[in-house]
Amino acid sequence: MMFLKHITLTMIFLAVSYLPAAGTEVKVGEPPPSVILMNEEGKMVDLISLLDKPTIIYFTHNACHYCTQIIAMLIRADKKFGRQDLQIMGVNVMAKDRKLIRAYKDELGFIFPMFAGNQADVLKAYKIYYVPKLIFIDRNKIVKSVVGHYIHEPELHENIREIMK
Amino acid sequence: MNRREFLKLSALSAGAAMSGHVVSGYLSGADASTPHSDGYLYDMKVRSMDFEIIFDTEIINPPKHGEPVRIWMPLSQSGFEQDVTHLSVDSPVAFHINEEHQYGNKVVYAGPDRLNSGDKITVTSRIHRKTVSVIEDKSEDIGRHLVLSEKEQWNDDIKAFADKTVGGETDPLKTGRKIYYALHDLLTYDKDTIGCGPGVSKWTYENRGGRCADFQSLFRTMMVYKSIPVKWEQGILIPYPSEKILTGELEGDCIGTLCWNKFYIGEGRWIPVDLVEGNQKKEMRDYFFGHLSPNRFNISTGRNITLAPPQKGEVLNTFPVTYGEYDGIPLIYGHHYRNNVRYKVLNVEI
Repeated sequence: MMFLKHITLTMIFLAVSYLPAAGTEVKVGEPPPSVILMNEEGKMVDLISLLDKPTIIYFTHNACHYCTQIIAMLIRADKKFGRQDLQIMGVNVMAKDRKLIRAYKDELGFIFPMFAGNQADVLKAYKIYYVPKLIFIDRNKIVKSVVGHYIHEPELHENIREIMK
Repeated sequence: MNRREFLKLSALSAGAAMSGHVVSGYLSGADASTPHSDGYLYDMKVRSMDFEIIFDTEIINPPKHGEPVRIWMPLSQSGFEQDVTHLSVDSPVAFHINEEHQYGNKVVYAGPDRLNSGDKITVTSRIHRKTVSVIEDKSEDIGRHLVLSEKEQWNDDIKAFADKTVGGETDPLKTGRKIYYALHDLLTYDKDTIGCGPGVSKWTYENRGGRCADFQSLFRTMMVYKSIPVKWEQGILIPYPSEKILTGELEGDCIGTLCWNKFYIGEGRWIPVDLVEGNQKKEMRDYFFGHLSPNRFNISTGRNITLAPPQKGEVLNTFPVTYGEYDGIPLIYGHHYRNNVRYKVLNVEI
């Protein structure tokens, strides 16, 4: 009986060890930090629980001129690479609730899920000292790259290909 | 008043808003067609500049569902360093000129009103801007310049750096000088990345660089940590006189703006410091400790701004350019609206 219990505990330990643990601060080569954010339906969601395929997390806010240009690139990338193996989500770091994110999506035609990210823990964990910021996460839920300030389309595609490998 | 009627206000002085520009004294005795090879020497001699500024806020796309819009445009004011004249405001909707309570920033407030694509609010003014050195202003409330915004808070690393840099020095002027030069050595201006620095001191220190607001924030943080009041000012920089560029346009977003600081040394005296221009123009590094070149004008003072009337969104980190809202939601810059700043140099005094 003790032996079986030991085996079970060992298996649980190994399973937990195998899963990458969420980091406390975003770092390339590590799992992204776990943060609980409000989605556009007003529900609180752990961002990490949504990472079931290669993912781009796009941080933005309303005063950001360049962010609006990146949205068009993301929409083109979504068409080019498809949703089978890539998901894109937005975090508006000006938004505290769903009202602003719904308005943002509506006004700019942002077709991807968006979350309200105006929380100190989110800004700290993802080091959001400026926007736009794009976090590229591969299928193993590991941050492959972090691109800040701006991105050109070839660089965006290159980063997408890397996380889809 | 008919809401579609173009309104016009001559707020400060009468007279035509524009006339043919005269560049009297501009590079007198020199070939006016080529920039100076030793431009910085010339720039440091310039005592004042006169320019005309036309600041537009244009609606590109009104909110999709036609919600009324509220617009707050910052308005340059006269003071010790600049005289603002020939001020006029053109708007397709009614507006008021209000004063923000904390720092006394002037605001053109329009709305709530429906605005259409192509609608523009235009502020035109002439500015006589002097070279700034030590300023005596005993009327200033120094206490409010000891308050840091959330983005300017220090951490242990910043404190340790400031302590090591300043040592046992307690004189505010000497402290300011030590921190100014230490930050020049520590920080690298990030010219290559597109975008704006939000002025987060911890990140700037950790990153050992950044852009305009990042540099000035870290200076302010360290000085306030040493209990020295620092006034945050923000405005627009136009080309240096030696560049001989007489007219031009700037994007009126955060990239087109510039900030600088003035720190308090007692008895009503403030020392201006521009760490960024001093960093980018190495030959003028000493000049920008204690001077501000006159190819700039001030638009607003302070951080964490609550407008007049108050915005429904969050306090503004800074207020050098127009802010707008609809239904309590901040307008999206580059999508809903855009700002444009046109300048014309009228005179350079040496």
